[in-house]
Amino acid sequence: MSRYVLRRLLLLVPTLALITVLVFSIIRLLPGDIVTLMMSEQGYAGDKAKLEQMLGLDKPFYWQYATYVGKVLQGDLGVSFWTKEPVLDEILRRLPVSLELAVLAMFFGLVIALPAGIVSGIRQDTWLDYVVRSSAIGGLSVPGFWIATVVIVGASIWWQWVPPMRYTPLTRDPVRNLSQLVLPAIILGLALSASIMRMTRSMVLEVLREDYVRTAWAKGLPERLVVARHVLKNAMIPVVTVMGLQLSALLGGTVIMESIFVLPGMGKFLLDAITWRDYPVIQGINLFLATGVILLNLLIDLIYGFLDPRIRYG
Amino acid sequence: MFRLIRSKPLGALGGVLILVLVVTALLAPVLAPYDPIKVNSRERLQAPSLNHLLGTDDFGRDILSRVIHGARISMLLGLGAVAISTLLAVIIGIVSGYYGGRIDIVLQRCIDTLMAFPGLVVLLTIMAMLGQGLGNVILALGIGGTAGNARIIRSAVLAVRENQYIEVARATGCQDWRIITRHILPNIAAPIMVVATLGLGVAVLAESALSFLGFGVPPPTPSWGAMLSGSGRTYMIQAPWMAVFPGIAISLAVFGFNMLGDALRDVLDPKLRKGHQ
Amino acid sequence: MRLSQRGTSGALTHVSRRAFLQTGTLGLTGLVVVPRFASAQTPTDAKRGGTLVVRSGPLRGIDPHLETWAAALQVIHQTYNALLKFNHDGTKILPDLAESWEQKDDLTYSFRLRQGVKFHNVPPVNGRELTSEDVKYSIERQMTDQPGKFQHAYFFLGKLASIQTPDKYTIVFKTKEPYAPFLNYIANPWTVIVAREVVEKYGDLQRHAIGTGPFIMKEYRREQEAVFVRNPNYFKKGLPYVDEVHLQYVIDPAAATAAFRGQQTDISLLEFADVPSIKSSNPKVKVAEITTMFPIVLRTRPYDDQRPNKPPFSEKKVRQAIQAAIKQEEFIEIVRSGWGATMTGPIPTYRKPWALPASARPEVDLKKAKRLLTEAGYANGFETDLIVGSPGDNVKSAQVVKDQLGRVGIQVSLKPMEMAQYYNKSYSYDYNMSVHTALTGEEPEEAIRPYYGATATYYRWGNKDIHRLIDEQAKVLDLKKRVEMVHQIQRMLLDDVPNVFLYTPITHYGVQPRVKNYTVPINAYDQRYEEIWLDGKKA
Repeated sequence: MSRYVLRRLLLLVPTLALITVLVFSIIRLLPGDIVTLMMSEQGYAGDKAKLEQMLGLDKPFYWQYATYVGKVLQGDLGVSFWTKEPVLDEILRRLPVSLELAVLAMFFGLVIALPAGIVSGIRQDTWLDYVVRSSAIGGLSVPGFWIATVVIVGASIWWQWVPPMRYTPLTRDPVRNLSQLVLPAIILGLALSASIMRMTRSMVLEVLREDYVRTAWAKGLPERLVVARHVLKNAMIPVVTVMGLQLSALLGGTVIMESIFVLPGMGKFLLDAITWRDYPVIQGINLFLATGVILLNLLIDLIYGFLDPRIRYG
Repeated sequence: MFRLIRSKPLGALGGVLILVLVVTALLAPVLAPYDPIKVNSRERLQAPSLNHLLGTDDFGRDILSRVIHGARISMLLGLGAVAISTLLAVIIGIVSGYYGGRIDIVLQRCIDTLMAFPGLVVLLTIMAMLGQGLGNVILALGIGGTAGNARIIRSAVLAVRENQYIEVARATGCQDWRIITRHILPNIAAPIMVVATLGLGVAVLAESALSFLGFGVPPPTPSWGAMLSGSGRTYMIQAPWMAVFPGIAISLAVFGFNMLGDALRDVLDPKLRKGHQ
Repeated sequence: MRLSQRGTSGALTHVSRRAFLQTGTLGLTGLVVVPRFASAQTPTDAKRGGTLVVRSGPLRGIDPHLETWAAALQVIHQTYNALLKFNHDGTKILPDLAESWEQKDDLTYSFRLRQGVKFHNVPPVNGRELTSEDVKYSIERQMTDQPGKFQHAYFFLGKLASIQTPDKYTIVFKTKEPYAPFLNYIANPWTVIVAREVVEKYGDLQRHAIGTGPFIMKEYRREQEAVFVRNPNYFKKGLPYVDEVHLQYVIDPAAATAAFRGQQTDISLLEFADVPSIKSSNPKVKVAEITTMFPIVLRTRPYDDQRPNKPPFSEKKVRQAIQAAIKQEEFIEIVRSGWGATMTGPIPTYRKPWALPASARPEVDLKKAKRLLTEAGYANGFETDLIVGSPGDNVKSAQVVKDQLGRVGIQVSLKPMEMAQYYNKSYSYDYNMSVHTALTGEEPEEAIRPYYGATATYYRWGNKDIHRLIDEQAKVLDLKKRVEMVHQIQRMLLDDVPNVFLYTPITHYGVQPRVKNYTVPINAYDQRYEEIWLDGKKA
């Protein structure tokens, strides 16, 4: 088992190398390079060569990449071209926001999807099944930013209530923090819940087809509890997979919610960095996210092994 | 056929919605009462009336006509994006799953790499590279949707490959090409169809998200996403019909795609056939 | 006299939107809309304390000499002062750090600084006194070339012969030749006085704002927020009243309006479509209608000696045809639902006497447009493209342009692009047409020199006659003569048509009832909060 983990961790290196090279090249290929951008921001007809030198962009590609990797290995992700703040600090400042939002979103997603999926599976092809499934898919079908807009505007008009616009960390003021995050979390959770519900439902269906399960179910309550536990345990596997996938999507993909609810998270940070061609920030965030995702996948695979004894890792 | 519809009413509902969508898209110029692009400042912001069944927008354009033509845009977006992503995913999935070995590992790393980036960010980066325009949006959506689908196709190929039939065919020296086209493809047709149908819904939603951020289909093309996220939001209180109708259209379309896709999956996946309950 | 609560909204109800369109000038009505300025006397019922929350524009760099984003001024004005400043509608110059000034002769200006003005008690300046040396340093810094040229250097670059500091509190400027805009540029919001130590410590002032101003910057997060606390040693005794100022950048307009409605922000830019519902949910809210200083223009292909113009835009008749096909009112109606003012040239019409009169406005004449096109050899029109930064209102204006030019046979294909890309293309002067937000200022040549002058940077126009006139008008100290020359330049611009002027937006600023003693200035980013006090809880 530990050899498996070791092997996976070693594979991390070439994967990350691949990712960083990819990102490094792509952002330098984006039309509108940062030098021209900075100069037009701060007045054109300046000294282009000097600015390039200041940003370290006058050196050849491999030199830039090598220096970057060297610094990364020492824990230095560079500084933002625009703010001159260390990239690592900025990421660490925004990580808790995105993480909290992601966790809350998954929580709400599960809260909606698990019961829905189970009910839907048990009562397959009944009206209840149809209603539950329609609602779940319905929640996914309406674009999130629209739900957010209607809720915010509606709440402000009818109840004079708006979620706080200024972010406070959970540790400083949990009530304010949660009141700002709960709405975007629910909206994100709605979108997530559809896929989780699908997984749960099909798992339930699969489990329920087993003869012994159906017999136990028919017998009555105590046996039903056993069945429920059995169903849940089996449902966990694909659910965990889906959640793992969603988490990585969530960490960087919450741009819209962050824009609307004024949350200083990673999504908007990444979008701004791309918009303003802030190469070190883009590279830093991607490195961070990629590492996180790969480690997360490893964790999920390990949980698999824990949940399903049939899976063996050599 | 009837039995199928009765056993899967939600799927049938989805199918009907999609049928309506497709017909609307095909017949858009015929169905739409007005020109969806022509600016008409005298008739701005009119509430729904007999003259304009769904009202007009801030440019004086008839919303019903724009929604109808928007169906065409959505279908184009969806079909284009899905065509690209499915084609790429099938190629990658088959190569990876069938040949296995080193190619598989390398391709899988690449897929993992792509999936490590948040989807929206991938889309935005592609759009930044390509510039704006309907074609570029389709390309971006297609490329962005490839990674996830590739994984699914690959699993399906892996499952089929273990089939005895294939082993025999390989042992008897059948050419790879023939094996792939005659045995593997037909057997993964089911997951391909499911993935494609669901992908249509994803494409429509993704375009609306791109529109919100300013990267969607450029005006004056009437895309539902742009109508919902742009002036629709600005005039939300004053002229709610501007956003409500495209919003309903998007929701119904995505709902339909999902229901249809789910039903297809239920029907085509033997594991999920209803048991002896 | 102090600002009465009725001030803003009371005056508004008498002026309908249609009136704006019909008069075409904001002149008098502009002054009516923005009420009388409160004097610097301390009102007796001022209350101390509280936090003022303001919805700000995008917060990027905040170096007053380097930055170009007008939103930076919201930060700059809390922490810095200048020698002089404008009143809220830009018609009068008032003392700030200078307690008196005089123009000794055509070339010499002398300023007397207040005594005992201290910088913020924050390292590295640690509360030392402001002297004339600081003024000299700041102005010289503003004129210096560096990688990324100082955007406002053109105020004084090449115009000043010397800056002398005969004693700690006196500064004497000598210009090389008569320089009419001098005082306006000294009073310009960007010409604030900074401290040498801060620049030397940090390299630039993009992230640090340490000056003599009413507030000390506590926190600054780019693209997010800025927090300021009261400066206890501010040279205006008793000011500011509020304890803290919080600038919050809310990018989404719907969320921002909701925040204002929910009383989370005290002062906020509002969408015109939301104003009726805001007024009805809280009638005590004041909504100021501000005709902005940022007009929207349709630009044709830039050119100069290095980049010659290309057909069809090199044909003057083509450009005149375009101008004849553009109907300003349609833009105002469609894009702004009536919230806009027509234009008679690059200078907004409320800036009297510099703006051309309404009669100068080019007429809409589709027949004439077609005739001009035919004379230029384009009887069947032509195809071209137009770039515009997205997202934003300008994308809507671009659609109207496309529609209007289509009526005379010019097929415009729209190319919206993300802002970064748009600015790149814009500053490489490589496009056929674009819809752009122009900058104007209290000083009339700000709307002209950076665009059409010989050393223009925002745009390039190679018409040497116009270059010459622009250089000439700066040397004319006689007001009447100078006005005539500026009018002359504008008429030449309307004839040569480098740009077609589309409209000047009218924006809305909401002010909560608990905010007292505040007038929203015409230069909407030139916001100073030192005289505000807060009365009443967030109701």
